[in-house]
Amino acid sequence: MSGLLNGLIVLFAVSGLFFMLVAAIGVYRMPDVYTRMHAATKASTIGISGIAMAALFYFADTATTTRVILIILFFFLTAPVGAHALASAAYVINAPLWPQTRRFDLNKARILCPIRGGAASQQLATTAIELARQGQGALTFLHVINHNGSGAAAEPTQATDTLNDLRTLGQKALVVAQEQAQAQGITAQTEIRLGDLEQAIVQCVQEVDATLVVLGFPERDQATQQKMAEDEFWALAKAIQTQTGVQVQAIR
Amino acid sequence: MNNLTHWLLDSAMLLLAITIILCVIRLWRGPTIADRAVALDQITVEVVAIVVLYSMRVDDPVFLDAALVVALIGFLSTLAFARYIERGAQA
Repeated sequence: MSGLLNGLIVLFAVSGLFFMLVAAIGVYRMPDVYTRMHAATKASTIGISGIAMAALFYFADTATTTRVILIILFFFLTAPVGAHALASAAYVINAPLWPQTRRFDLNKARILCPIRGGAASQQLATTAIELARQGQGALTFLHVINHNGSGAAAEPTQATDTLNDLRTLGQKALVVAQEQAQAQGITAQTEIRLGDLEQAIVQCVQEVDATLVVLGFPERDQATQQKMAEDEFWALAKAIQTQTGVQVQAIR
Repeated sequence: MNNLTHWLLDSAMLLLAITIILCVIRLWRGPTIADRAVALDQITVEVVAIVVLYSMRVDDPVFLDAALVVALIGFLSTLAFARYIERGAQA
């Protein structure tokens, strides 16, 4: 037997043994059944392949090679199937997860939907509710009172009155949207904010940890106004996206 | 075969025996029946590895067939075990 062949045998056997050892330590030490399965399945597949390859180079004839390839192929085919069956069994019997397991379900969206109120908002709310239903996600409606205090009224009391009116209107719009969501079986949260629209949305996105912002695309009667509103809209959408990194979706 | 290879194969089998002990401890402790099934599955894989090493040790490739059979039985028993666990939960 040549030195190279001996070296290959030792290399494969040692690496195979290493992985088998890792798999066994994983089965022994991992905190819950799913992590144990992950150790047992993957590491031991590689481990058995290494040891079988060592046997291949040790005997180095056709009959053995066939058997070794069969063993390796067999493990690569059956280990995932067996692990899948065991995992689904563990799931059925509610095997406890490791307490520090962090669930991160990509399809569970947290949608933030700023609404103005009125007919256009109803359409927007319908779309947002549909999105939340599809993604089995949470939905938050936000109304921002875009007040610029000095210009609205001369006297402070009058300004407060206007603000209160706006707040009532906003709350009404939010309640309408919430009821609309309730009718679809979605429990929506509502938020009402004072101040700059963009800042309020960005702040709210961070507070509810939103994954998607749904914005209503503006519709104006006159073409010039439409152009302006659209420009404003896209600037807002871009600002939200760059500041929070959250996807913004325009709804017509 | 030289003595060095024999010595290596012997110690490899010893190491695998130790890993089987680790799995037996897991088999003993559980805590769920699924954990025990995983441990049992791992033990059969290690038995297959030991049989392959043994076939090298005694220089007889016929044991590779035995390894293949053990692997087959291990897989089928894992599947049967999984089904049993699922059925038991439903009954």
